[in-house]
Amino acid sequence: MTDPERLLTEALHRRVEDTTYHPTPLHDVVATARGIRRRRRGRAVLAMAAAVVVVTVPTAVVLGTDDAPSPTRPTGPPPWVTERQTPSSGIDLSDLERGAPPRVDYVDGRTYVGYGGARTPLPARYGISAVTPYHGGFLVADTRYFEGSLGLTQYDGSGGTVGEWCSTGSPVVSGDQLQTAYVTAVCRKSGETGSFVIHRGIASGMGEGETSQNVGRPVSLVGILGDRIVYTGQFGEGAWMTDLVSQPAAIAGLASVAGVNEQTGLATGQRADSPDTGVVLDPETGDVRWSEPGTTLGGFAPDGEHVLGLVDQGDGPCCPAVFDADSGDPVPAVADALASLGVVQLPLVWEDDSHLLGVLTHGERRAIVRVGLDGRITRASAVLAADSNHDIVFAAHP
Amino acid sequence: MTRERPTTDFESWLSAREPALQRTALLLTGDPHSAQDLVQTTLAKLYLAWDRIDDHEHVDAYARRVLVNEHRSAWRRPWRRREVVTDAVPDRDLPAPGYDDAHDAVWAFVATLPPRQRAVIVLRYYEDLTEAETADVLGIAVGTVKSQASRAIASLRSHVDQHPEISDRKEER
Repeated sequence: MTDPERLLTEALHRRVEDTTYHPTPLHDVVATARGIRRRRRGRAVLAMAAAVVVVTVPTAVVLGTDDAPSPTRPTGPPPWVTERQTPSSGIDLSDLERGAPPRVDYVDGRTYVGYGGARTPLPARYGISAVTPYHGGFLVADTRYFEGSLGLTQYDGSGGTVGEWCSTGSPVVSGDQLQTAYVTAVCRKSGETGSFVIHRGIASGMGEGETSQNVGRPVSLVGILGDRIVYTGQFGEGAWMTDLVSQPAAIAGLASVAGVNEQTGLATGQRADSPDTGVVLDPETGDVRWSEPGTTLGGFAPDGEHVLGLVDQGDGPCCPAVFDADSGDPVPAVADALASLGVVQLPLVWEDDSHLLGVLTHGERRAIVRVGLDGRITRASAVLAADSNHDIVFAAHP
Repeated sequence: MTRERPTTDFESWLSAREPALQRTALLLTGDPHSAQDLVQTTLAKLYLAWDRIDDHEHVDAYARRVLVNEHRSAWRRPWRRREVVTDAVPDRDLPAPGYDDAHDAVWAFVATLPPRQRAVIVLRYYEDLTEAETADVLGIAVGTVKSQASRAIASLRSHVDQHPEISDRKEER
């Protein structure tokens, strides 16, 4: 150790070694924790960085299906674990007009529910936060959340475990539904060192052609644009694209990226120079289509014509809003429709180009509801008993 | 999902280890109030994760990781970046016994370092982590740790040469 190093060590130690501190009362810690938990729930509503469920077309879904494999629907914009919201009004979920069942696959507890209602038990030991049919089986992300990481298990078609890792973010699927990308990571526990590797494989293939790249930091994948995977750093390290061959390239102008659409080639995210401002831009050129202060943007509708987001009404991003992806003009019918039910916050995912899905909970009961861009709300499931250990997790589209 | 937290274990850990976290936080932030805020947020996050931590032998290092990352997140926030940057060293509370002009000058130098470089220095020269451990905590490459530390030491060496109170102190050694 050189003299400057020795002096530095000494100065740092002496600077603090005899300083007195005020112990933090436990109740203050608990109160702060509650606040953090509330904000995390708010962010879960956004599903901006934490894409959770993707479902693509499997070649064989044979994990003990109750029925024949469903024609599974493709994946979508950043999906997320649904949160229960209690309408402030006294609506009765049973009063909502019954519409068609969800036109996207979803996970109900530990059961995969395909388009058409086919139910496949998933051999997961933990709560499921994401599932991607993959290589004839499934990639299942679970709820072992630990400071940004979660568990990820690949099962084969008979339910056997192919591999188990820690992961970050959630798998994503390409617009043509042929490719799946996911992250395997060092488990974020103390003292461990390791890597954060993005893998890209053929979703319906048998393992050939998988490519990977260690990006060296915890990331959340957002989508696939052509041959590039788009991701965002979990600790605010910006928005990135990589072809898994060359070094990842930063997306200029973005503090984080939340959605991409292969049809338009556009991305959503938060402005680097103003993280409270949502922006739609061309990630290749940095050309900004529009931006909106006080807004957190999320995923595109499958056709790329609309963007889901949350607006800040004075206490942080809270309330769903839909914008025209090209102009940024708001589509007020969605918020108005929710307001008519007394619902301010409701996590939503895109079902198709003009409908969103969410799980609405009222008291001890819940139901999947569909919200149209025209403001029409229908019930897409039976009214079920609410179960805090039994999340419904939607699939969405590329 | 609401779950009950095993507060007893956490409370025991808190009372034993909070002072160490406070010290590191003070070195990272440079002022006691920011340090206390940083520690409280860190403790809250640890509290939320407590029953998911498989190996409680590693809680200290996990807490350090949360602390450092929270600090990095905090100084990236817009309100933080709007703060006026100044070369002046902020007021500090009473110096520790044995803290002389040379230490003061070195501390003043540390206070001028950019946040990430300062975190590297604190983890390497206060927490005594290896380069690999420092890289892991900060989520950066080992090479970045080496270069950041190396540049800081080179700057400090230059700083020493320009400040007689440190040079004299060095010669006394």
